[in-house]
Amino acid sequence: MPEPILKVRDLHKSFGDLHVLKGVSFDIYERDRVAILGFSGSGKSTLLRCLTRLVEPDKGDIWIDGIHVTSPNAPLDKIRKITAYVFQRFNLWPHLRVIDNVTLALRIVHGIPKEEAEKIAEKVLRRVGLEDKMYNYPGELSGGQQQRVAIARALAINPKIIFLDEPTSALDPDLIAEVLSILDDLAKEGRTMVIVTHELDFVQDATNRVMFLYNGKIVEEGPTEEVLSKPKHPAFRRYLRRLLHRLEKPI
Amino acid sequence: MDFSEIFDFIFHILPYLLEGFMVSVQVAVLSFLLGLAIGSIMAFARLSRNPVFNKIATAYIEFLRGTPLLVQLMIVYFAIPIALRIHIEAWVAGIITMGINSSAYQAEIIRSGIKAIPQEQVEAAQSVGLSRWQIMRHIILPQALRFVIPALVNEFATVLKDTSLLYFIGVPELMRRADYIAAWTFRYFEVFITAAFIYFVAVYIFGTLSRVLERKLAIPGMIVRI
Repeated sequence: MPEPILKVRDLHKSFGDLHVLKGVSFDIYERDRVAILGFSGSGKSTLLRCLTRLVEPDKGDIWIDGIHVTSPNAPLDKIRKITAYVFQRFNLWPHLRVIDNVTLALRIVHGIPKEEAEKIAEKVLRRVGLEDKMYNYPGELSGGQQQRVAIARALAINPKIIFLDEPTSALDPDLIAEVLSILDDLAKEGRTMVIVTHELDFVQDATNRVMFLYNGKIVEEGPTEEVLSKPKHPAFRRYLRRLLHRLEKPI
Repeated sequence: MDFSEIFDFIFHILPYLLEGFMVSVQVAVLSFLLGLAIGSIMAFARLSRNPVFNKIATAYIEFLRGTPLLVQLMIVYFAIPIALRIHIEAWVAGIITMGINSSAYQAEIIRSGIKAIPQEQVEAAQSVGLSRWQIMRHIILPQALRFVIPALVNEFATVLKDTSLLYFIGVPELMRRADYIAAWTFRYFEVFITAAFIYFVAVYIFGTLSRVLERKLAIPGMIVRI
């Protein structure tokens, strides 16, 4: 078994008195597409952000591609060059055109000249179906389009791992499909992805592993098929029941 | 009431008053720019995580906003020269005082503009590896400056109107000239109404320029907060 591209050992994070992450440990390998599931407030978003120290962990160790992320003088800029996030609320920069949103990191952090960066941007925007909106501003786009731009922005730097924090939760229901379809393609390509989501259909189709975060720890994990069809932990069963209950209503 | 005679009179004093107003404008512009320079520094000091910078900046701002401009003028033009045995020209004292005074208000304006940028955008910038300085330069400042234009133009209008206080330290601006003519002709009413009118037109023009500037800088789909 090759070295994991992401290693987490005994991760802890508290906000004041609230102990959110109570010792999370897991490994993720290249080409894994891992879904992190959990109830609201269970710390999934916090966990995702701790992995590149967007939020500072209180305790624990993290390695990405062999780099020790949690060491005091860790090269955070290097780590952030090989990882990318897609956020729930897109987090685009509204004063920059779509193409500038996508090329900003390439130009400023990766030192790629403008012309080359824009060619890359064009390619990834075509991938998400938005090359004709290159010169628009985010404010002129729908939610689904903005999230696709955010995905393009993440893809442009060709990251080794993409972290997605509930990428469809803030979208109108009719716009969810277009975003999931792109994520589906990425999954089929073999992109290493860690995705926090509630979209169980997507989890079933596109991910190969599932982790359930409950009470600050991962209480159930394993291959997607197995975990979803034979859930063991009572909290996880409760979670699935709640989600599936909503989907069961006949149309 | 002989209106044509009144208009004649106003017409005659207008050039003299406008010359004074030019002094008012020059002082206002220099004071505002000084305020902008110091205010920017103070804004960042207040935003800084360093408790020393933070506390000094806060004390500075609170003191300047908590005392009347006229009192500050008296201190700079009368009190300090006496204490330090130096001579300060009236117009210099005026610019220094008004500049420092304005810097306190501008610091707060700039600071609120910077804080208005949603943390999510900063988070996205951090996630792709931008440094703190790069985030300030590419993400925060371009947006913050757009936000603060209306408030800063308003502050300039305030500074312009406040130049009227320089009357008390003998700067030959609009109010001093107005008072001179009024005392000489006893036509206080016409003179001061005209002075008010001059201030009003100037403030109105700057307000319009500000709206034009805002429109030119507006970005489709981005709502600048009111």
